[in-house]
Amino acid sequence: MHFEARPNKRCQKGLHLEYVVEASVDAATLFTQLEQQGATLLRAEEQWGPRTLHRAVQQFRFEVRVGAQDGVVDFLHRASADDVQRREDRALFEHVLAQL
Amino acid sequence: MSRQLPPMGPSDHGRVLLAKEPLVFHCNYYNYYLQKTLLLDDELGMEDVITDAACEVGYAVLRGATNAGADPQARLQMAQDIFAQLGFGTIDFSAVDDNGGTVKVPVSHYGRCMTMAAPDGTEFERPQNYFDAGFAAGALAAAYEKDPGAYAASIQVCQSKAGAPGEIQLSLRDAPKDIATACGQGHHTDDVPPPPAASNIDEPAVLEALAGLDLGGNEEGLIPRFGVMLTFHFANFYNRISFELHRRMGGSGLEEAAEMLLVNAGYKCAFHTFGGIMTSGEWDAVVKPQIQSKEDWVHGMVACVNALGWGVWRVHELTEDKLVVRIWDDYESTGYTGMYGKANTGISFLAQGGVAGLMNLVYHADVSQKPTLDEAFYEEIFEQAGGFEPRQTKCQAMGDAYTEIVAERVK
Repeated sequence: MHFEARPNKRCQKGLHLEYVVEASVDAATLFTQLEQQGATLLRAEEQWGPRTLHRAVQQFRFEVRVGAQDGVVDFLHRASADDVQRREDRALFEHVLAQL
Repeated sequence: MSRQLPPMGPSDHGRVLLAKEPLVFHCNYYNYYLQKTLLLDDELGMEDVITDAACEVGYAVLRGATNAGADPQARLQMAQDIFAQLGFGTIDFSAVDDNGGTVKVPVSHYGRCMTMAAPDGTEFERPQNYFDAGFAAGALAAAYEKDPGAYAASIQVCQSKAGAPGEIQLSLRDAPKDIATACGQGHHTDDVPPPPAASNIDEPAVLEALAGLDLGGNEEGLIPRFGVMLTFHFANFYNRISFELHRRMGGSGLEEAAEMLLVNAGYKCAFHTFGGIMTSGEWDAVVKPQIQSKEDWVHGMVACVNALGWGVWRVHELTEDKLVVRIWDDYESTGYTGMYGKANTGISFLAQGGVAGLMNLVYHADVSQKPTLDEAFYEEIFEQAGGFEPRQTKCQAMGDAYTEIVAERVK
């Protein structure tokens, strides 16, 4: 899947990346693919009115949110992940996203 | 994630209480700007005020936890859980005993998230984790059933400066320091607020949807939400540090300057927290479908404010040039009267900044177009002509039945 990454420059600056995708992303498929690449995810869902937010957390490293915005997958580094870990996690996430 | 917390839940008067302590949501930008304001003048001695205010609430919440048990270690575990749940980060009391010791703060809202809120390239001249230090001292005193001022807290490392985990040294004082007693909910009105003003916004539905969000700290004790880092903070902490700045600056003839600075902190809060909410996916899903007019943006945000623990806000009058908000039990008034008694001037500084800030976002910035809420845009909206300025026309802390804030466009 083609995507474009853009940083969210607000108060979580440096932590929050928005991936603009050209088609809808199935959260379960994305999360399963991440797990097959070695991630250990805690999954949760949250209801926002008619919208469902799908969250997957690799503890102390990153969180992926699907459903917060149409056409966007949110990727948030955890504050305590160091720069090397962040690069690796982002590479893993982008690899999986590209394969969808 | 299982955390052992004191009884926590909604009470009357638009409050959420943890033990008996009222909680309010604020973001890292407000925390950064408020603390920057407090620390502008070294001679005011505000570092100690911040630390002691944190000690006051840390002590109060743990002593008020009826389910904390008698074991000091269990109480300190609860203190760690409270710290994480409310978005302050992670704190580790494993190396302390009743003589004190070293407290580690692997992740700190005040250490890390202030850096995120500060303009790029900011280098802090001093540590920022005074809250962490005071909270640790108060919690340890409560755990060992000592006087609240039994321990001195010395900041050894702050993440805002070193990047490394925070470190606080606690030591038993020869004689306890006087620490104020937290006032809990303070004094509330007996008045019943009217229902929300007529609009297209279904406020009960908005509140129900917001109540379904997980706004507790994640595994590293932070709350990344609405594009900001939230804290579910102690109202009495904000009140103590804000009113003490007001009192100390007032003592040197700078009362109006102090008020202006505290209102400015409210502008920052409105811009980032309100702006973050109104440009969020949550807003788009829950509130935006109900919006049919520009006025509804204001009514929708006021509905959200009523989930923040700030009191009960009601829109009394709204035009494109003016907003009158009446607030029952604004947390500044209830806290002020609980701490100091009746006020002789309006003291709802955060509320003033919030009301004017809301109008700036809706009628000056057109937040419906989802602008980038950065520092340059803040200056464009809040520091140029055509914006809104607030004045407080009633104050519950002065004996009025409610607080009233009027925000009008400056021609």
